[in-house]
Amino acid sequence: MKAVIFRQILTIIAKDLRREWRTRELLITTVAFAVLLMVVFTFAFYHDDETGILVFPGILWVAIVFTGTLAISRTFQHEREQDCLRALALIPGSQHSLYLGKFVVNLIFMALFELALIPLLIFTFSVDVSDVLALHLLAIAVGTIGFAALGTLVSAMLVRNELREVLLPIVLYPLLIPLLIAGVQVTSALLTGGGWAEVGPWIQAMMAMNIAYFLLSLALFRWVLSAVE
Amino acid sequence: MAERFPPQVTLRDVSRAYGRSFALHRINLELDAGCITAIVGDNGAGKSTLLNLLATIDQPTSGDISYGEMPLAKFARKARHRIGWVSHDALLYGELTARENLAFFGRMYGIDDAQNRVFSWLERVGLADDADRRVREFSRGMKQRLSIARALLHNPQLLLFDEPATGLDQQGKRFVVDLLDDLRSAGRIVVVVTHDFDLLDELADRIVILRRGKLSFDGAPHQLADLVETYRAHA
Repeated sequence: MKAVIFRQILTIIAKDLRREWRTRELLITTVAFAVLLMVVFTFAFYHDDETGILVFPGILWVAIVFTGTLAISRTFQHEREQDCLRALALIPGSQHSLYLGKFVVNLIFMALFELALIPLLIFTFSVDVSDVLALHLLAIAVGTIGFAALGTLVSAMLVRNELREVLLPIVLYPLLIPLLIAGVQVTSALLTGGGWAEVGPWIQAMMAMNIAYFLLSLALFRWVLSAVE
Repeated sequence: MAERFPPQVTLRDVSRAYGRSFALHRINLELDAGCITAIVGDNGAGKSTLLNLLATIDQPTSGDISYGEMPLAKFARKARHRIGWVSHDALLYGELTARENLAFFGRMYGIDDAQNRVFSWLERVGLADDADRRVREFSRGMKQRLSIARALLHNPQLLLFDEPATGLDQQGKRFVVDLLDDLRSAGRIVVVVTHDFDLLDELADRIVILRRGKLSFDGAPHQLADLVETYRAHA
């Protein structure tokens, strides 16, 4: 049973990555959007190194959320276009594997975009993250996992809705506020010389939120899928 | 030996309500193996709801459906291995090739010899030469043939066809008719929702007419023809 679901998850991941490799539609639009965001933020908010450190945490997390939203909004688009959701819904065990597969795909895409975006932001805002790089990366990784966990579920909820692009941030962002506040707090504390003692509780809170988001999403996904079917 | 699907699907007093309105109301039906049952009715008559219930992607509000002795509510997961669905929508990924689409669904169903099965179905539906073309480049008829291969790949015993001949040319329709005939001969339980009277005339062993969620006729095509004649004579 577990082996079947694992194989289904890998099949979904491979299919989505192959499709993206072929079309590159998500990659091109999101990287272009990320660069645009970076340019706008840099000109709007960067005046000197001091203000850079002050505004960087907010900008970093807003950039992650915006680029992540682009990736997540297209999670089920290909299933919707040809009504493949119906074919998938008929496959035994596919509800869990579809959620887990899409969750991993979203994580991969978000990680790729962050890999392009974050070094650029660090460079243009001239912030030094080298001392506590591991903690920065941990916070970003934990935040990304929470975002992808909840985003995958909300994206499925809105798959049949004509206004899904508008509704996705309206539904998703309020649910993510606790995670984003914690993320901003961690980045801010780390940039002002804080260490694990300061950020540890925030990161633990983010992990707890992730577990709640993930389990809730996994439990609700089959109901969401049958409702949108 | 492959597990066989029970030879009969039985619906007992099946209703499906959405709020206060009934999409289906107290339907009693028995669907037999080796028989093509055509479901006919106006829009909103409950045909799609009936297919959704048979496919296990929806649940009846009351009544029960069983596959042989197996109650559906309890064994939906097991039953899904034995159900194939063909819709007027292709249910295929346009950016993948025909071969990749079938391989994807084969792996999702956990078919061990997926590659061989994919190849044999591509041959059977006449798409072997187009196996490596992307589905978005296919004509409607080619998509429908591939869609049928997708639905039959895992060797289902209960086959649900939702308007399978819509938008097909004569050659495409012929293919669907021949295939349905083969499936009947192979002892499958075949349910076809259609408005296509050629298809009904040529293939249906039994016609079920739904009207506003209720069963208004269930019998052989000749019985329906007799009924119409009688009605005309009285009129």
